[in-house]
Amino acid sequence: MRTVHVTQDYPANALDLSPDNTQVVIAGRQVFKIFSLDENGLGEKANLRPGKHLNLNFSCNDVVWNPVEDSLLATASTNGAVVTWNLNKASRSKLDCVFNDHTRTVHKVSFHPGEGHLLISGSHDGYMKLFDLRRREASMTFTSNAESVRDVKFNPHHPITFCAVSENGNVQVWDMRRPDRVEKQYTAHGGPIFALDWHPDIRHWLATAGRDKTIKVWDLHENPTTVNTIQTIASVGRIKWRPNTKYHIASSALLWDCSINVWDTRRPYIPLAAFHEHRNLTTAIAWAGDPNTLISVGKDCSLIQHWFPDAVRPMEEVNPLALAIGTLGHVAAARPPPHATLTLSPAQPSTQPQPSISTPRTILNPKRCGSSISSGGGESGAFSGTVISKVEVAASEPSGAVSTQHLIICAKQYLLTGRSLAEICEHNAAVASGLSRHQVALTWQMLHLLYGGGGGSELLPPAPTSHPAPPTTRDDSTTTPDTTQDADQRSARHLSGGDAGGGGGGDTSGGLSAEEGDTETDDTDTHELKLTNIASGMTVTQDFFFGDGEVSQVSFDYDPLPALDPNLDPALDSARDWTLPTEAFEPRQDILHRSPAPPRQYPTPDDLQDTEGELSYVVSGARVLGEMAGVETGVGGVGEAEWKCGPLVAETLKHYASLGDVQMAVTCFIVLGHTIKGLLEEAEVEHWFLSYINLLHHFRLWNVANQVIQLAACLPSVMQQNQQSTTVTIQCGRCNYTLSRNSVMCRKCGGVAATCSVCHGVVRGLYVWCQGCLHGGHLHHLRDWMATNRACPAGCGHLCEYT
Amino acid sequence: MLVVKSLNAEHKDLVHDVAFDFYGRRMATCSSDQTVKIWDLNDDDGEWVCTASWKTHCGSVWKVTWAHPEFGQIIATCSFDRTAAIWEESVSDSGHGVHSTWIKRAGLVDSRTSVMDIEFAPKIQGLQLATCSAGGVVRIYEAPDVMNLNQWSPHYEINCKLQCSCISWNPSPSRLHAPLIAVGSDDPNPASGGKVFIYEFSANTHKWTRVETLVTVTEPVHDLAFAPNLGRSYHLLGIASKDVRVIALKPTKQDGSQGQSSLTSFEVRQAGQFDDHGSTVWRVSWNLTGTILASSGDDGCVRLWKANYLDIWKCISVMRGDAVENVGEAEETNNSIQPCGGTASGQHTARYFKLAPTAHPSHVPWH
Repeated sequence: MRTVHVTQDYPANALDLSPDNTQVVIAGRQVFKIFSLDENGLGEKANLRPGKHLNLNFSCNDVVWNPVEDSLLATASTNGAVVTWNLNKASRSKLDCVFNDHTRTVHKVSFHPGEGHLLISGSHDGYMKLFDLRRREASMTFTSNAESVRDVKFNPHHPITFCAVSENGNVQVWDMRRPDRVEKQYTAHGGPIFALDWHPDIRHWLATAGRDKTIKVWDLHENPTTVNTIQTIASVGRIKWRPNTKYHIASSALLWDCSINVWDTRRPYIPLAAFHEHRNLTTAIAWAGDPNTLISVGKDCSLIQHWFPDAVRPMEEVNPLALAIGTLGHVAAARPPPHATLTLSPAQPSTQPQPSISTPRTILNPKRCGSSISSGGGESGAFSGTVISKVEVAASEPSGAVSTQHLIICAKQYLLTGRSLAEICEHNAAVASGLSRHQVALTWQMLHLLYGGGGGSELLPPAPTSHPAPPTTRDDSTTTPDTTQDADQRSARHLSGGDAGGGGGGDTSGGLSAEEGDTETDDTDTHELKLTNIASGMTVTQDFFFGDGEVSQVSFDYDPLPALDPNLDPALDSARDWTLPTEAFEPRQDILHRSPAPPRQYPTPDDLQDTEGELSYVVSGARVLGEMAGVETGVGGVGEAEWKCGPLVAETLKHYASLGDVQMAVTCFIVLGHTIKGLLEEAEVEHWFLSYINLLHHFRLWNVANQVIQLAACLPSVMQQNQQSTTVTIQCGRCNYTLSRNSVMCRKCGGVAATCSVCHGVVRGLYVWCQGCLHGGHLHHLRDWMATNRACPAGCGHLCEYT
Repeated sequence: MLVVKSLNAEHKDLVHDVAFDFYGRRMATCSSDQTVKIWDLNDDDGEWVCTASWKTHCGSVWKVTWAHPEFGQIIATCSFDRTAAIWEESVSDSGHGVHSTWIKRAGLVDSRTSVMDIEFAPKIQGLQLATCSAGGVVRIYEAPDVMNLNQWSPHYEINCKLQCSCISWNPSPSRLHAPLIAVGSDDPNPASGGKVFIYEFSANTHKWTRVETLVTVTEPVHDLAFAPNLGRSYHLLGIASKDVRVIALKPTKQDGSQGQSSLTSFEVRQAGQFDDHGSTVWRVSWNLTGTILASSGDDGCVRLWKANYLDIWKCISVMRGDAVENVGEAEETNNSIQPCGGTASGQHTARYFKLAPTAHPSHVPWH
């Protein structure tokens, strides 16, 4: 079985199937045909509309096939006539009877399911008429008391009653023997009801649908109660229960939506299946006896036989998961419970193996899927209705990977300006190491050494002068990547910090120690103490930290190296150090490397290659630092002043930025100020600033953001942020006259605008005032005053309220 | 690492999207039950409290997204009912407690098919909104007057030819980067070619032009997201398809002669591709700094991905239902000789160590 299209010249309004489901009749304003329905699809069998110029009796709103007599048809005409047709007539025209009892268009006709001679009609004139075809007359008239009856249908389980729906939103149940009195009547929808369908199997179930875009399932057993409400996306024009199923109902829209949806009433939000074949609105639908074949006609002039297993399954294609990461490090995820996910696939009711719809979810539970396939024409029993997602929010702990805590703390505590460069660097380094961000801390220390002048010696301890036996250079190289990776696994940020910071620190200190080794050694002890403290703090949060013992071991290994080539310029060693970034987070270690390193890099080409090999392992930052070492040797100097480290620092900042740590890039840039300016592209720096300001806004750190904006001196576009769309007007407290710029005198009333009510002096700086009487003054004056008084100090009598 | 709390969401069907606001203190969830719920973080106890819940559409609500708070408390939703809607919060103090109601400011009804995704543009581009529909049309709306949310004019309409499932703005604030939109298609046919399209806006021609199609992604794409770009020279795009992918898009230098008029061309590099989920991946999401990618798949897990210093992306954490497995933890402990079975799944651990054997001290030839 396949989907079959038949295209006509004219659109049809209605269709019905013969009692044995082998023929389809379609009817419209200009079309009235019978098609045969079999394995080969649809074949035109008869055209009941001979000739072109026919009267309006041939213009049909609805057509029904007699359920008893398969040669008998009835149509509802747009001119108000109810017409019956006898296919057995010998003549060309099969027209049998015309009943002109209605005064307006007839919307629906319906045969009695058991007694083929009884036909009921519902018309736009608000009446329903019961026709007796044997007597060829309208035997009874039922008054709906509504403008228009849109649909009418006999109850298949209790055919003595029929149901009618009307445009005022009412549902009426009539006993066909009692035209004088409606048996049941209730308001079902908030607007016109366009369609109704009795459930084929369940006795008291009735579905109605209307312009309010809903399909409602009613239990009419006693008082009508809603079983389900399905919200669709457009006015519903037709509904039809799916045969042999309990909960499935097909619907087509009157407007806007061309597709046919099949709903599971227990999951009223997403269609179970959808057919999108029609290019224009669907005007009528009918199930061809079995639950897998649906026939429809549409305004696109086509008659289509749909094959249910080929339908689109919106319910299975929907995205079942949700995921988001919040600013504060929350990870929110929503997912259906495992068992519910599985029942999605079994909801396929087809008896046939599913053709193309093998969603990945079936993988999750093949067993269930199999059972659904064998479950026969109905819905799978496993489907339990609604699928409810579970929403979870995971809050990350301060040390967690997604946590943003460190950014917030750093933003709050970093010093950007107001002190000497050395102090700022030192402070910031302390902040960073307090957060276990040792690479960042080291970068700060390095900057301190590079730019902060001689004070650097306080920060980094000098190299221990003598240590026992050395390992070979190879050892060095192997350990290096090792630690690098350790740190890296923890976080790339740390690592990067290590690259830059470690290198810098080691380098400079190397130079220093060589020259002023003695003095520095004195400081070493105290400093080491400090480091140890930091280190111990570190161990709490970070597993990869080297214990003290290990560190000393490592250092131990390195020391001997200098012996190899003690004459080498100590600065050279730095080149090597750069490749040992992670170790740098322990300043003590850096120093250790410093002395050993130089020999191994420059003496022999082999060694050099080694180093390069390592370098290639390490991030760009490390390479940069390698270059830096080169620069340094070129300069040949040991002193920081002569050495042009600018480009290198610029690279370091770029490196931080590329790793997402824009905070570091921006704060360094601000702290370094003019020293680094010119080495970086303005657009790039602007990008960092904008990103960082945006980041601070995310954390609601307005003051910090503002400070950053103000300090972005060289970036006019960033500076402007503070001046755009913000107007501050100052008005005189006495007369509300707008003050001119930078003036405390009011031109209008001639007085000073902001005087203190207590001391009558001019208030400069913080001015507090009562919102009620607008009097105020110096904060401390008013605080004192309000401690003992309730009334306004200005004597206006207002009982001021300060909070 | 992560403390997982379950919310009693009371949505009556699948929850399709959850979105945090700019500050991470409010959360919106949307569901097939046609409602949207707003959750506010209680600062005292860290609980999420539902402060609003209302019916938004006549069909499943696929996505919900927050506008930048500079424009007000605004969310946008898109739905199966072929519309998108803009909602603004109105807070009233009714004596006993603050009551928040969300008022529909505008309905965007241009689509003829289900609207699959919606996202506000980065703040610097004003109050703009991009939607994409199952019919393959991307529409970009703008509120010309940010004070009047009732008016949204459809500025651009881009036909992608393939059904669209997801859309993402490039959030980079840099003026070096022209506005970019990535669109993903869930067209099931691999033969229809690449499923991710990159569109660039040219300020000169005022047009959106397709500048790139990721031909390597031929499987249906369910979600994609540009990483926040805080200073990178390249853009990162996370893609949820049958696996998780991270694609780096590096704008190649333009010729000076052509100036601004020419469109950026991109050097596309696949930074990572992971089938750890072993099933369809439905969602991806970046953290604030664009350093961690979260993905969730049909296996019921949320995985967190992060690049290491070699720019190799690795899984650092797995959230499986209530249990959080921290792969990173295992990695951190590798200083000890224990094979860090810990909480990580066996498969994971094995995989990790294979990738980084030298990380282990015992591998080092000591002399």
